[in-house]
Amino acid sequence: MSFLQPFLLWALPLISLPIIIHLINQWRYQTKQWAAMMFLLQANRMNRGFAKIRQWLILAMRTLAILGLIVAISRPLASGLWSMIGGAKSDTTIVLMDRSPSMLWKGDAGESKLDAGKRQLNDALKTLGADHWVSVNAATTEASEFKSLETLVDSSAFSSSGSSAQISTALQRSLEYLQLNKPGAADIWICSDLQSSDWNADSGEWSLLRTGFTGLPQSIRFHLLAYPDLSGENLSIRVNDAHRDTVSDGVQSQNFLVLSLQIFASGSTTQPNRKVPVQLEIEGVRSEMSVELSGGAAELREHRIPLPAKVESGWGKVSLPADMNNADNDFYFVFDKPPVRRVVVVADDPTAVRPLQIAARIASDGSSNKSQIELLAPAQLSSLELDGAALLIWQAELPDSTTAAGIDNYLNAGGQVVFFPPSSLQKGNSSGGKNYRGIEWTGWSAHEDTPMLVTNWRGDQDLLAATKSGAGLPLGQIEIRGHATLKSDQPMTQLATLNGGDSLIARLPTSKGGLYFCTASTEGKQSTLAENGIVLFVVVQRAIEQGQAALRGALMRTAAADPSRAQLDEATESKAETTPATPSTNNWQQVAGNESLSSEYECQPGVYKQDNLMFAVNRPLTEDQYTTIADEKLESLFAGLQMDRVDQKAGRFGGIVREIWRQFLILMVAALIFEAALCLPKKLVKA
Amino acid sequence: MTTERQQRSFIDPAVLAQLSALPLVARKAMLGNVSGRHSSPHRGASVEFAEYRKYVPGDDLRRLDWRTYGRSDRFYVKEFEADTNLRMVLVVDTSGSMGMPSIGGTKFQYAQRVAAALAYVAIGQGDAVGMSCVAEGIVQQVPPRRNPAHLSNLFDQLDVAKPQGESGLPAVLHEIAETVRQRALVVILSDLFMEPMILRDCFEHLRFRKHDVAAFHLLDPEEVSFNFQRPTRFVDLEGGPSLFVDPVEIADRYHQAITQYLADLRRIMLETGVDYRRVLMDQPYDKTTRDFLVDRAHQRRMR
Repeated sequence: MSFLQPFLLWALPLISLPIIIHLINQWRYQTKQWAAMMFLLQANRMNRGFAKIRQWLILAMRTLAILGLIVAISRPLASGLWSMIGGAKSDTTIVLMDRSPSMLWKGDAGESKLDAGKRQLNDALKTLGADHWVSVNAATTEASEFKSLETLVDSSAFSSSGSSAQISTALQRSLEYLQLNKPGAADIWICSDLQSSDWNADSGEWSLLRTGFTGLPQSIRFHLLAYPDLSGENLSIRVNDAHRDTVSDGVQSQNFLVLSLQIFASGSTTQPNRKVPVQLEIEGVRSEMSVELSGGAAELREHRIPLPAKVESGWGKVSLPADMNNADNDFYFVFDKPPVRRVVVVADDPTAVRPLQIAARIASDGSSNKSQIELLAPAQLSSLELDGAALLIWQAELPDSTTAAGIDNYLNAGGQVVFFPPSSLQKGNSSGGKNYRGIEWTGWSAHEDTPMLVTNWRGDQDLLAATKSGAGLPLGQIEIRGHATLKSDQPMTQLATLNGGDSLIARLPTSKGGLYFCTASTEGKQSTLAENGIVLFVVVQRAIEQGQAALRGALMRTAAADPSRAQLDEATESKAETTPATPSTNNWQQVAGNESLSSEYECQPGVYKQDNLMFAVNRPLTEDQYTTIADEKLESLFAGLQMDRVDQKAGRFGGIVREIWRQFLILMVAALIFEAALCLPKKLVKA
Repeated sequence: MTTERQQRSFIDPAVLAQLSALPLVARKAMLGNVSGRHSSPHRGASVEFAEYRKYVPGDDLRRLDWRTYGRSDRFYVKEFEADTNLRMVLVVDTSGSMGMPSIGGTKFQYAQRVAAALAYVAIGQGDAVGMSCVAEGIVQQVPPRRNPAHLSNLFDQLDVAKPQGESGLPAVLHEIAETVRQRALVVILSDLFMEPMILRDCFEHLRFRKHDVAAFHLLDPEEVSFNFQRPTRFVDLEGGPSLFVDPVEIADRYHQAITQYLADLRRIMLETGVDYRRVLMDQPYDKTTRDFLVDRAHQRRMR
């Protein structure tokens, strides 16, 4: 049980007062010489049953009355957090509110989890009190101090955002705050819907957090207010791709917006098949269409919407009707003319990459939109410019550290890179130990007399996937007369392997972009890749497509705060009421979306403009996938820490903490009345 | 002698002087040795007319009532009541329970005073007085005698008696019923703390023997009210185990038990014709004795 005045519990030994008085009374007995013993013995024999326990009941009632009084004046709290408060008022209360879109899921009474959490936390913390109030913004992971609970609850850290919560990072920020400011006992309140993506339970941060919090000298208690329930049905919409396309019949050209979108159904009650109205807004002009929902999902691929002829770029929004969670009913997008197909080829032997240039130059749709090919020799790497490149083909010695850093940035931006063996390798030279991301060419295996064939390849996905009609690529017809061997200290995904088991095309997993290694040369003497043509063309075109998709994707950003914003500054953090933010959004202009603070732009869905570049910010994909973290997993995250959890439902209007001294006072009065009833003298029998 | 008498704490000359004016009257016909002031079952020569009886040969002709002969032409003999003295046996309970301290002394001391006063009155009117002190059995016994010097002997015995031991009153009453000659006045001074049904047999036995039985039931007011507030260790005066109880807890059941007992006892006393007198120890003994004597005198007058 928890109490607001726990020191009054020191008076608890007073409950033994009735027992002590009883014992003293017994001890102060008198001795009486008595003649009528026969009646005493008779009366004593009759003293059975209720009469026997009556005095014990009286004692118990008196004890209960004192107990009720002491507990009542200690101001007990009742809640699902019965054991959460622990008694003493904390010096600092840190609040971590999950403000991700999934927290806007409404309960039965129409109140969202976020609002319910705000209300219940406000009530609970108002009752409990604290000397210092700190909020760690779960979206931006900024820590801010507040003078009062009211200002904390009204802060932006308690308003909804479009980005996922970063609970582990926010806790790291809390830990840093505690280490820096060294307050006394602290309570950390976490209010969350337990969405897996918000908790990032597999992150290595958690073990560090546990160690960090355990190592703190002060007492830290975690209180988790969880809202895991999903009631009703909810639909979420997401645009996968939006770009402008122009179709010309020779006389006039027609502008189209090509839109690909998905709709997911989730919740406790879903109607799998029905038509869903989707509202489309392009540059403020609205229209509506219906999408057939099948099996709880719908996908619209490359839906073409006519655009005025002069419109080259713009923004739009798709919306669903209101449902249980309105935060995932809108999705913003920005469209522009298709990016230029720019391919950069770095080759030490231009003739060896000639087939690749040819394969890259031609547009896959047969249009005249030919690619721009930039051929660079290794000596010209100083002029290597990868911004806006759809594909980098590298047929030379592996890059040195300077060039590798540029390629890394290109990959992190979603770029595609395909490495081919350098010509020097065929001449018997070694790679000289050069490697890129732990991969190096180790040698050349020539087998001109007995060409090797491709025995295995992945036809389900990636560059060698079967065509949309289901026909596989003719990789079995490719003959390899010589190939390089690879050495990697990381596991690679083999896309195609030769009959000897050596890899032909392999991919190194990366967080973004695509990094491929092809061990065969496209030179006619070394393989039939160029002669066959189809496989090489498809591989190169698919790599260019992926690269272009990444370029288009730069216009569609995921709502997330810049991590550098949240770095604590000791000087400001300890003194300022609220930490002054230095947002990277200070030159952003909001074009569309709900009104929000400019410092919150990167976390709020909408369309923004920066330096004439327009882009859309939307919630992350994980916010549409309502999966909650398992209870066991959650417990393991706080293993060794003092953590209490209470599950709540949005729309439930009861508080999580409330005082119940009245009940104890009633208990005391009831005990006294019962005791008085037991003590009432019985009707005396006149002797 | 005078010094010795004054030393007896149970004798108050002033009370005795007051009581000496009152007669001790038996409720039944008594069989005494000499003439006295009590009616006898036999016909005698007192002035009190008893009955007419037909003359039978052999009767004394002097006792023929000639007036009746003149009226009825038949012979009737006129008979008169005989006056006799009585034998009073005082049965004083000297068991341990009589030693219970009470208002103005113990129950035994109260019994001493009442017994002494009755003996004084009885001897004073020429009745024979005997005494039996009873504990587990008869502890002391003084046979009935009527000479005034016997009074001193009685007082001596009362003086030396001490309340101790268990009570064997029922057995003693049966014994007295048998050993004392018929038609005596048996006065019992006791707390009578025993089963009423056992006492019933005793009283029926005494009635069978045509004794006039009077019982002074000596009770302490606390024994009746039982209004103790503090836990109390009750010590059995007759040597039984002590009992530690919270009187508040058992008061109601105690009252229930003693009420039942008193009701039963009163009923038995009525059924067996015992002159039952419940005496609370806060009542002065002279009043108790006076009431006893006066009530009996009234009963005699009513007859």
